[in-house]
Amino acid sequence: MAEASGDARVVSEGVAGAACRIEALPSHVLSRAISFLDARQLVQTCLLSRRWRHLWRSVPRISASRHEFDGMAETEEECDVLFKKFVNSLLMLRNPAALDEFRLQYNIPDASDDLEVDSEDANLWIRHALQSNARSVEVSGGVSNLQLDPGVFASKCCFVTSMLLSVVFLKPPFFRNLQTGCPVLERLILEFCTIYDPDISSHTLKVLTMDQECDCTFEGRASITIPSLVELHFFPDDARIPLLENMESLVKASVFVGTNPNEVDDICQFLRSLSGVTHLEFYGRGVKLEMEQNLQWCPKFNNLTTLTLGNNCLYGDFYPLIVFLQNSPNLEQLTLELMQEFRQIGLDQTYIGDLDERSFTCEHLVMVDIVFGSDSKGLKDDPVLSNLLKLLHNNGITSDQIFIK
Amino acid sequence: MASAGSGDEKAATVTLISSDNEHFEVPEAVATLSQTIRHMIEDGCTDGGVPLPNVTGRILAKVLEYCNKHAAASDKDELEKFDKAFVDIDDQATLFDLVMAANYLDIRGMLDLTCQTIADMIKGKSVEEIRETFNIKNDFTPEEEAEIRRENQWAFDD
Repeated sequence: MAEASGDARVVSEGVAGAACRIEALPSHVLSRAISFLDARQLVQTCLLSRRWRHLWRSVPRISASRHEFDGMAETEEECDVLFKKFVNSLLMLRNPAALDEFRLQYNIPDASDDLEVDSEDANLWIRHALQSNARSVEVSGGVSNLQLDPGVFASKCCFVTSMLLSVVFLKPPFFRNLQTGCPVLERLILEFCTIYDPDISSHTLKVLTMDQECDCTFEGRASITIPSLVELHFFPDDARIPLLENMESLVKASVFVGTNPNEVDDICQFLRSLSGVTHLEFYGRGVKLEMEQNLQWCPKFNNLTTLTLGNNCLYGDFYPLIVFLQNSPNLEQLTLELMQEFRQIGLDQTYIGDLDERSFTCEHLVMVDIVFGSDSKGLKDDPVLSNLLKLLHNNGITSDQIFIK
Repeated sequence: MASAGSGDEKAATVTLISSDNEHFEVPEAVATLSQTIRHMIEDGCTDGGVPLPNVTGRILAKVLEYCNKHAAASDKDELEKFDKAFVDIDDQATLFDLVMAANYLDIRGMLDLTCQTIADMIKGKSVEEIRETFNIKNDFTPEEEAEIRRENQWAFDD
């Protein structure tokens, strides 16, 4: 087996005489290929051959996943210890030169006694990544919320442009620190986060997403003031309608808001803040968007070309839908997403008084998609659908412009 | 650059010439997915065709398949499906030819796609299995190997 001399060992090469194409790749290309590996496997490539020994050190991407350590020891706690030792060593021993992407799939144990203590290592690593000029940072807390320390943004993180946080607890002054510490941040995606900081402001963000699983635990309404924002996706369940201010750059918005009758003023102000967008997706938690007939709740959407509405706008013989269409003179595409609750609308087709004008003029409207959710396929025969089609036909939309999916 | 000019309707094309002298006339909008070719068009040196001595006709055809699809389609799901099928290749040699072509022609999306495919072939394998997959010759002495395992012990199982 082992040669007594120092000669390199010759190992049979699989297929006799076959070229080793991977070794023929230029270093920067090979580096790019292995940058797609998770961190532990990446480091292990050091053993493949002499050429690979130090390659892992200069790969500008770290994707450290606790899952790589599943089953590696008797207990979960021991696996956590191995994982932490690994990441600490990795960060210390790799080439400190530019880190471009940092991805951390952490694990806050289910039965954690002290979430803050269990989050310490993660916070340290995140701070390290930001200070290493990472441009993209993705962090996930695993099963329980990672307690993100707003102090990680204390020193100027001059390069980070994109951040994704998943299963993270965000407490004040998270957004303020983010704003001062990350002067070129453009994208912020929050998934499954618990958001305790209601003051959402920034001068640089272009895209902000808060998904449906986000939990807003602060009192009152969120206040969103982002003059640079181009795209907003606001979906947290159970959140009150946020207060939008100075959103002059907003072009696309998709929102899921409560349509509680007590929040009429909030909805009016909210829709006014969105009135400059070209693309709007508007869904509601309640079954119906209840609005008084004589209330000017819908602003003019002069720039709107693409509109998607959920069930909640089909209430009262399509009253909210009609009002939207009356106020969207330049609309080109309309999508109606009909989910299970459509039946309840079907049951209540008496509208609130008389809507004088059930006609709308959307000269540029060329496509109407009616989309049934997977649980509502049976609704295609529902009479409400034929009433809806009648409404569209009466307003000049021809059958070949309507697509039912 | 453009073919015999008739109306304004006809889009500009460029002729690409593979290493084995196959000629491909390609719309500029498609060819410029390659930054290399884009720069050449901008510098005005594409008259009479662009020789690509590093790419065979067979591989260039595949590359153009990719470029045609990505220049045209805009549906994310459609592109994902296409990409998945594109790299579902049985023989390694073709995969590496595509990586090298993507690198040479500087087609970012295709480079990422093919590199990711290589990474997927490495994922989950032991060091020995990876060597076997790619015919990597182990040129370490046993002493060297032991030394590396020691210095990076934090990344290995023991």
